[in-house]
Amino acid sequence: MMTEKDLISKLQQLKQIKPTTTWVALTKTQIFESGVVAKKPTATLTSQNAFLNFFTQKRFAYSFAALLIMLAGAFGLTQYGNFNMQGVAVNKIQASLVEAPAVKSNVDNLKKTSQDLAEVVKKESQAKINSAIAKVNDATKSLATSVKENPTSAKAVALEVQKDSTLLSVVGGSDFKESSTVLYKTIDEQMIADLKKTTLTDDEIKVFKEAQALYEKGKYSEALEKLLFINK
Amino acid sequence: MNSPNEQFSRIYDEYIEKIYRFVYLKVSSKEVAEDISSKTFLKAWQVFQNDPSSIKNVNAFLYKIAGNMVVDHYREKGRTKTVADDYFPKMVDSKNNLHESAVLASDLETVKKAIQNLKKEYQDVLIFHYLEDMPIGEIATILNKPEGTIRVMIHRGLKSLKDELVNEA
Repeated sequence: MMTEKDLISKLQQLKQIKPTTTWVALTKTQIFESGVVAKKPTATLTSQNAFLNFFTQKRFAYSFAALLIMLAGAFGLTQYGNFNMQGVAVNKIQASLVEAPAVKSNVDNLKKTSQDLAEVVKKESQAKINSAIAKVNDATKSLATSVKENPTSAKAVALEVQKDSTLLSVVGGSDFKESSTVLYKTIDEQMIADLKKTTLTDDEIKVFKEAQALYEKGKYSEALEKLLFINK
Repeated sequence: MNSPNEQFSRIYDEYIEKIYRFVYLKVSSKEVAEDISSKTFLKAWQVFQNDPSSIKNVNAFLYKIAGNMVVDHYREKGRTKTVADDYFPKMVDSKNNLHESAVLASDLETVKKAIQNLKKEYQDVLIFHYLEDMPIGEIATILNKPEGTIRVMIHRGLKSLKDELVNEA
């Protein structure tokens, strides 16, 4: 005879029904990224084991790699004068890159390492993923260094990053947190320095102070959002 | 103050499993449950971006979207032409895959099938109360019914579930 307690106990066993970690992570990324809903992303990945947790992070890496490729692409296009990114800023970048072969080299390196990572993740070649991630991290840090050495490129880089800020916020905590933080921090520093030399309206001053406060708290991506708001 | 992305990210983390489970128990297909759950959060994100203050109760908001999308799913499939809304969960998608095999491996499948044979209103209250541990008041808010009615529905739902399980045994 089944008691009510037995019945409730059986019912509560259904709590074991859970989505795969891969699907959860991928869907979250895609919702923030572009509003495109993930459809059947886990056809061959259904069990919740350690490898999937690992692979989930690598899918994030792939997404971030796509962003980096886009960034690198933006720099590449500006060199040929075809990239319509806020006229004046583009000219500044073009000039800075022409005059700074070190930045150009870093951009090329970032582009290559990102593409390598994307390929490795696509093939799910686990053994090579860590190495590829390390290379992208290094390339990202190098780009941050380049921005520091070429302050005029900060805003243009920031505008590109802003397009994928949601993605970066999702990526937080994964393999690229450290390097993306460095990149944000560097961009913030350059833009804050630039804005200090600029005449701002009362409203802009208020936002600028908020951005500085966020920067000082280490909330670099949020500070960047406010800095870009001033710069619009 | 956290950015909208961070705020919604926390909502997603807190509710994704619950919404998926809620949907899965109604459609019984991993693929369909994933699709509907994704669309639920995408729609919620769009609303949240436009006017977060319009969402008074996140819990109720998400389950309402998910429930409506499940209804839409069956309506698109033309299934509501032959059965009343209250009974649509009987018409489940059946695809055998690893996810379902894991469930089939235990008597969970029996309970799952029994739930799907219940009226929609009984499904809802049993899932909310016993799987998601929602208090009666919260369920009453989501379903927009008095608390007394919810208590009666839970009682009747359990009785119906027991009858289903006995019949299947």
